[in-house]
Amino acid sequence: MASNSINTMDRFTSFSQEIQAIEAIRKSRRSRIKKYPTVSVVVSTLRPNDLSSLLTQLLAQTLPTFELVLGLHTIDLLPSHKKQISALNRRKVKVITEKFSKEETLGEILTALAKSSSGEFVAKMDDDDYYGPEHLRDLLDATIDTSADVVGRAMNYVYLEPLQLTVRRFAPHGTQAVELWSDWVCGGTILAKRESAEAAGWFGSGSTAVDRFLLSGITNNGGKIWRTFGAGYIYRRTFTFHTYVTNYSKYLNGASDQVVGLWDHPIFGGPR
Amino acid sequence: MSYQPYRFSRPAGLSLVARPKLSVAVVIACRDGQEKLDLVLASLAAQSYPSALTSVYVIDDGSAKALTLPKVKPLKTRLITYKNSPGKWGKTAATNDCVDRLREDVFWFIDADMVFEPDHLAHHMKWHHDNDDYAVLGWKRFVKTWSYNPEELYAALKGGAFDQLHSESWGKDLWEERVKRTNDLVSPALDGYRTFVGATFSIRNNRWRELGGYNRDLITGEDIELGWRIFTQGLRTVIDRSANSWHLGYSTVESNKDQIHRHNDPSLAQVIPQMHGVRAKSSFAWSVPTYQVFVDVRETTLSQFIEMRSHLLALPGTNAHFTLLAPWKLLSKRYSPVGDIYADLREIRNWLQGDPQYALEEIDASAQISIETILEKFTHGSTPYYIFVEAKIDIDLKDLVDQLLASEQGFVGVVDKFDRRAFALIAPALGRALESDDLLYRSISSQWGVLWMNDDQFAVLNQGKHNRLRRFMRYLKREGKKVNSPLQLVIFVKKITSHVLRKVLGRG
Repeated sequence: MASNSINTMDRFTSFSQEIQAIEAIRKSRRSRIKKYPTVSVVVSTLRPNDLSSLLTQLLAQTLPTFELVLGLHTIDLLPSHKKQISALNRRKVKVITEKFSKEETLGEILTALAKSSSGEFVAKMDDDDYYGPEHLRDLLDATIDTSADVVGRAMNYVYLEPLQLTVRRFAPHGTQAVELWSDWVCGGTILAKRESAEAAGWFGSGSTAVDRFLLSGITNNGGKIWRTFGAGYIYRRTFTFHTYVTNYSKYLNGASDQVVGLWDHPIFGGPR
Repeated sequence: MSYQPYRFSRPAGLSLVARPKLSVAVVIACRDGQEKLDLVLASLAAQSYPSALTSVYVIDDGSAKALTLPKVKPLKTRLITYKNSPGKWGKTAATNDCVDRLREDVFWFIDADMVFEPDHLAHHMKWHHDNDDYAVLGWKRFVKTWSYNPEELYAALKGGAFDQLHSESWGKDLWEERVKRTNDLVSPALDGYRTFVGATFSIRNNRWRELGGYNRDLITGEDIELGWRIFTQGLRTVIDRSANSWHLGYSTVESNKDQIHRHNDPSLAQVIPQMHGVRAKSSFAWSVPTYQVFVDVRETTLSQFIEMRSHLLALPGTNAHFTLLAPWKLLSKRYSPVGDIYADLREIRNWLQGDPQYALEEIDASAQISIETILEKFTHGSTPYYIFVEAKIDIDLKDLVDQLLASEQGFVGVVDKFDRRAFALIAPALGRALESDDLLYRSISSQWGVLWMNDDQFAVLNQGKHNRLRRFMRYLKREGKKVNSPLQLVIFVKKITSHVLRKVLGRG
């Protein structure tokens, strides 16, 4: 396991210091990897726009090959989506789509998708979040390095859509701490070993807390969860109807940086 | 703009341009005063800036004895006779009308009672070669007497004796003090515009046109008002201490202070909201509001809105224009006064719709309004503050504006635990963003800075702010600094006593 100075960083650590530390971790981890195991990405989507955005991000992934198992929750693929999928096929990404009706819950959909996938690892991605091009590779690097049953990211970057603002939060504790054993990682960044996740019952069958279901299942079975660095992933808080309060203002607490728009840096995929 | 400056920053140690390209029109509007005009023209003839790029326009604005051009003058000097009639007289009208036809790259406006150091114009022009968003002010000292004639003056200037022309001269202490306090207008704050004096200033032709020139309703104080618009537009005002000059005699403001104030105060306060001290003397409405406010009044009650408004306008002499956003068309549906589901919205509309301070704008009942969309709604002008608020948010908007100033950001926003937003931005940030090719919000962020906080963080910043004792101590400290003589001390004590009595005994 790579032991790095990154987990001692706090809110006074600058963005460039953070990126430097991450580069060092990547270099050290990748120097020891010859071949990556197989991975399946599972996605449940019900918003055509968000699906387009996610497919673009998947096409930009630096991991040479993976499988994508797409659950269409009450929507159909648009011609533009089909074009994107052809492009993915051309770059050695196998895409399987399954349709789900309104009655099926998020847990049921994700579990079904995971079951029909074939990778040694299963990565869950959310269509409304933002992933940099190294996302899948970073997760695999970490899982190979740590032999964890689940690897996921810290929540260091949050995009608050109503404020059109990305906040950077960095602290040695809470959901912002990085490179450590934990019982929590961002749900949109879960990468699980197939047999461990299977034993935990995948994502259950509920309509909420599907990530929690998998993570508790893993730890209850004696499995271990590694939380790697958050840069390269932006958790998005979307607009909600003003009658439905989410208190996204809490993400401004302890924010060390604020950037208007999506954070524009190669680690997040450059300008959007 | 070739590059985008951050706030009002500017390069240090800019040197004179070796091969200048920009042409300049020197504009002198005058009425009588041939003798001083001759000296001005002599000093212009001695300027080092290339004469091929320099044209001088002397505007005769109704002199009793028609002005003539003297022998010693720059190569390209023209006399324009401005034919006076009602509405067509005075410095502002004469300057605006005559300058309108000029095609030179830069305008240099000067008073007709100045003697310029030979590099004076070259110092102005180095800024205009650097970028197109500067308004440049020269430096000046006042002299009581002078004994040279144009030929002697020209010879002295050519001989490098500008400094030796006068052994006794005076600066304007208040003005120089203000310049120093604002770090030569790099940090102008809201009062920096008052340093803008017309005796020697230059600006790019296209900027002058965008600004619309002088406000021709003004007969004096027009330079101050122009300085205010230059500020709100986000242009950079530069005071170049190396662009020296002698001002021949005292200005009229010095010798007739009371009359000038009586004349200027109300007309300037109409269009400069920052003059709230003057505005506070009456309860009349004023042309330009201090705040332009867009309020999302969905699910708001009239009393919530009124309370929000009274906090914002706590400072006497400030006013606001409100645009209320709501799904107003829902109110046209059939309803009964008893059991009206839109009673709150209807009450707001029915009370406010007749008052010109309020406008109603339609938005969908479920609209999610992005920051960029809101920014696009603002109409930029002489108003210094632009505010958006979802009316149910429980924060003091005046505190928000104070925070905007204290933080020196272009934009400060607060969001509360119920996802309700409020933000304020300052005119120069909006003005410059409107000119950039980028999105408004992003441009404000990159050129001025954007800061968001949540209601808890905002509350911490404002802790104790409304504590009366602390406020009083701050007041004492501030006013105490002004005491510099026994008479001032007496005035100070009297002021404090009446202030305390008023607070303790109530209004009486």
